[in-house]
Amino acid sequence: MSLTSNRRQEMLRVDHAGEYGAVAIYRGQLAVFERQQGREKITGQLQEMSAQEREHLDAFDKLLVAGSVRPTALSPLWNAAGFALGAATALLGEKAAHACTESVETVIEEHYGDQVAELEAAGESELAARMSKFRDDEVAHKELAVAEGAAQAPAYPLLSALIRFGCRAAIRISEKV
Amino acid sequence: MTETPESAPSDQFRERLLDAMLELASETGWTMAGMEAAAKKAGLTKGQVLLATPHGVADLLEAFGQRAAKAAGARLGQPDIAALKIRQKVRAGAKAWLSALNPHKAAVKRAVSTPANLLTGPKGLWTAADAIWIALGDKSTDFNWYTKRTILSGVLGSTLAAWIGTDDEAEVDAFLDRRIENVMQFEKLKTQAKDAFAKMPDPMDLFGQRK
Repeated sequence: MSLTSNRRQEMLRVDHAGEYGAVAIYRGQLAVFERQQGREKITGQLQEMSAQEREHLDAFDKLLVAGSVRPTALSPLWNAAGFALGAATALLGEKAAHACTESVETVIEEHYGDQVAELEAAGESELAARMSKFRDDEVAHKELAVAEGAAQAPAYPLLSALIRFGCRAAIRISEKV
Repeated sequence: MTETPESAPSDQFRERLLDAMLELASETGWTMAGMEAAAKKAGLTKGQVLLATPHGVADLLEAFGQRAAKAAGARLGQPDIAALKIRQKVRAGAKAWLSALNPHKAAVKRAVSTPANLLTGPKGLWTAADAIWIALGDKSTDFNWYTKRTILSGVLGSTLAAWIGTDDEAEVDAFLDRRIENVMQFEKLKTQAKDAFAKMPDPMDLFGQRK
């Protein structure tokens, strides 16, 4: 079954919103760590991951414009919420910042995985391949965060559950709004 | 986007029905009775009308709006537009949109006073604003996407009201120019405000003192 134009637009809209939010999260974390001393290692890691998210965002910017897709109306909200989440977890420390990355990327990995399956089933192999590449980047971020001790963050189960819930809700909302 | 080259039967029926309706609307208004007369004129069966316009008059008004929006977008694709400044391009788009409505002025007047137009009217303005921005190669993918279309919808809506009130084209042009001038002044104010705020200290600097 081929995709309806509406469903395709929804997929691009939510992915764009997600990458937009991801850039905001890293910006929030960097806003804290760049101002603190002795944070060179995590700052470097965050800058690298942030650069990849920016590449993804650029790709979706182009896809939205090319397809005349309406962007999410909630971008100011995702921008503020993403920045706040990033800054708050960074203030809890490096482990919490990594826990944030790990939780977010877990949801995003699932999300891209679902989309790749849906796109492949619809015969959109070109877009599926791009999403699959993005998913691999996100998985690498998650693995780095785990290796850096994300699970040792304060109140990890609660923190992680909250962030995952927030991300899933944001995905549902951004598809439509 | 993959669009089929030939339009679906329902789209073709809708276009035919709209052509007929535009000729009749000044007499009948955008009513059920008017639509029935238009269907007869266009030689469409009841089933075909239902397929083309499941929501009745509202669908027809929406199709009318899309047709005018398309004309505005097409105008901006012409070669003489490329060299213009952005405000002149917007002006050309707005004028092309009005030109598309002009042959059907009486039908537009009836549409404005149709209850179904409460929703489709603003939608029509939005569709036109969207078509104009897309034709101008707007690359925004954040909230600016919305503000650009909202502001242009306002310009189009107020200019439409002026256009309905007079048949003097120069008067409408002057009105449109004043509205565009308002927008330019507002944009200038926004830039000034941004510059003023840029000099404020960054609250995030507080966190730098934390070890």
